[in-house]
Amino acid sequence: MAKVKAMIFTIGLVMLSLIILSLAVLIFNTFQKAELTMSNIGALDRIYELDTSIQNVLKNLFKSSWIDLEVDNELNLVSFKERIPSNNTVFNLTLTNFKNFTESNFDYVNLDLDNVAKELPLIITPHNIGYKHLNFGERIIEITPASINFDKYEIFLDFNENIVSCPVEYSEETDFDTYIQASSPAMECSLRKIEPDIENKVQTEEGFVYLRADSDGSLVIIANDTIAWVETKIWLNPLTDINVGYPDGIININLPEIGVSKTSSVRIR
Amino acid sequence: MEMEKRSWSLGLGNKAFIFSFDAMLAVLLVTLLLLVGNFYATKSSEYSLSRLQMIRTGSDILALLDYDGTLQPLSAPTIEVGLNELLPTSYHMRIEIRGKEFGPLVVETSSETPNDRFIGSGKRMFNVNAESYIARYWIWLK
Repeated sequence: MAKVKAMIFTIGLVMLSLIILSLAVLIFNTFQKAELTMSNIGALDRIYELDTSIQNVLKNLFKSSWIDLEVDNELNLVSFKERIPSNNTVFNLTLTNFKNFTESNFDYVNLDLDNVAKELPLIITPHNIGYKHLNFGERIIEITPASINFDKYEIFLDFNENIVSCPVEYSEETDFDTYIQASSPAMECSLRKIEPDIENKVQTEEGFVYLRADSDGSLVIIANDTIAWVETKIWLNPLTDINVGYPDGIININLPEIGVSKTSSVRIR
Repeated sequence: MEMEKRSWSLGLGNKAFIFSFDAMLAVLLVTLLLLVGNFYATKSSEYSLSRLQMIRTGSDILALLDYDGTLQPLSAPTIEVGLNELLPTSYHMRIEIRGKEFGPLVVETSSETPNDRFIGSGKRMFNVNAESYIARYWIWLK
């Protein structure tokens, strides 16, 4: 009987010791994980800080593109105002300098700005409407919506030389409307709806601006042998938090040693 | 008396009692060690949290100085005024600004950097017109 008691007692002690040792291992592991988590949070904070500051710089550098961009969330309106052909020299130089400076100081940061310098592509979200230039600095603006989730386009043109002829007014019903108004020192074209799927021309003394709004919602504006100040207003379907930014994948931060990779875009307005 | 002695020894002498007592003491000692270890581990974890908090304080101050335009003139007195307004009294902080062909411009609340305590640090980028700069900060407890 005494031997059985002693055996039970010893087994009990062994079990107790094992439980205590297991707890010790558990505490040790938890502590180690907490340390690792803290260090990861610290690293992620640093990445976030750098990423947001780069986004802010790129947002500020957009000013040198000389595109006047307005977003009105109450009216569901986005407006772009620029001169075509645009002067992209300062913008491209600024972007190149910023990219070189950033990448030389942070070897884990990659800025994919080639397409921004080439086309200056802008995305209206959440509508997913693209506004870009076929070779920024040249004469073509292209708007490509993913679907017809807008009400109408309004294009306002302004010229230094006089307008010679205006596009023909169109009165038929369409999925979306495209309106144009043009002004020059001695003549103007009053606000009018233009026909889709054909070339609509505003002829000036020196050249012309060509506009084509296709049934799929895309719009092309080309200035030929003339300088035009173009304001494009896009009246959107009502959605919350309308904003305009560069496409995804502009800023790439990659730190393989801690397994962190971050890709972000830049919201401009 | 003889009966009592016999009940203590249970016919095996007092070896079992001493063994049990020894084992209990050992378990107690190990438990105590574990408790003390756990206490210091928890303390150390809190320590990491306070370090993280310190880094975030420095980061927030630099971000505020950037967003409210205090960094823009690249002027040490202007930044110093802004820094003194924002920095909690228990901290010292140093800000260093470098550009491609600029700097370093240093603003600090203490010229002595301690060797005996934790110093939090971080970086952010900002621009003045077309030029870009890197602002780096170091923050530590007084």
